[in-house]
Amino acid sequence: MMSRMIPLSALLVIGSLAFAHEGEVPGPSDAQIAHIVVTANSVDVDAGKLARSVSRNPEVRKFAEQMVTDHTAVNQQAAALAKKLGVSPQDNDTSKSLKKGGDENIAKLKKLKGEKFDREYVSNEVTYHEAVLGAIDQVLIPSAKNEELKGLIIQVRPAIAAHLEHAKILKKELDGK
Amino acid sequence: MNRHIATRPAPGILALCAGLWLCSPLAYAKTHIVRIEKMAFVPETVTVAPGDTIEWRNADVVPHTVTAEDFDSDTLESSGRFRKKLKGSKEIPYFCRFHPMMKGMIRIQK
Repeated sequence: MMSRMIPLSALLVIGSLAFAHEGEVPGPSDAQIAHIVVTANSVDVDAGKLARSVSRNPEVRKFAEQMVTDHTAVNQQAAALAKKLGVSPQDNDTSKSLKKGGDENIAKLKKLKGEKFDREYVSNEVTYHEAVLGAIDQVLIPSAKNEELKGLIIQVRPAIAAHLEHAKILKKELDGK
Repeated sequence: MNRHIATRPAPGILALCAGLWLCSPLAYAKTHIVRIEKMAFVPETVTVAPGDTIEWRNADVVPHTVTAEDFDSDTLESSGRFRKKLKGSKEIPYFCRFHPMMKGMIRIQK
């Protein structure tokens, strides 16, 4: 299905990291993890900004606003931590794929409006947050070497899980219409 | 003629005032801490006496609010704090405006 094409590519790349962590290929470095975290947040901020400007559904707009607020806050903390640690976030295949997927998602959403837009946006948010949560649990937390970086990812995890639950509830409401 | 000019209250009066203060609710007013962490208010339900204060402390990375019918903390950034003195005797449900699934309850009991 069209709605799954873009996030699926990100899922595949993130999923490949899980194999990397199991010993076949070295997992991402802290610099790469930092870049993945920032990119993942930025992708959802961009989608949220689009949704809050396009959607006419107050619940979707509220959700989108939450995504912008929360992911921006996480990025600010991540940037501050990277600066403190002297880590320069390093671009890598995973973050490139996330960015590419995010841009393609935006392009697709821009062609939609009304309920079609809302359903596509929220459906993608469910899939995206599932993928990010999986990456956090299977790769980012286990691979992070610096304890403060690991701590930040652990601290952020509940917010991502809450976003996923909220998106699922919203999706159910939209599908019920 | 001797004149006794009182320069300070008699010890008995001082003791009476101290006793009255110790018996008043003010003497026992407490501050209760509610941590906002892992997308939840901890503890979810807090029981306080009239005159007590609750201090919410945001230990999450993301911002939250403490919002009830009669008060709103506005945005609490990470590490932000909000204090509210409680009066009366009632239950006050509250929530986070940004994350409506986050709910808490204040019980004011004499």
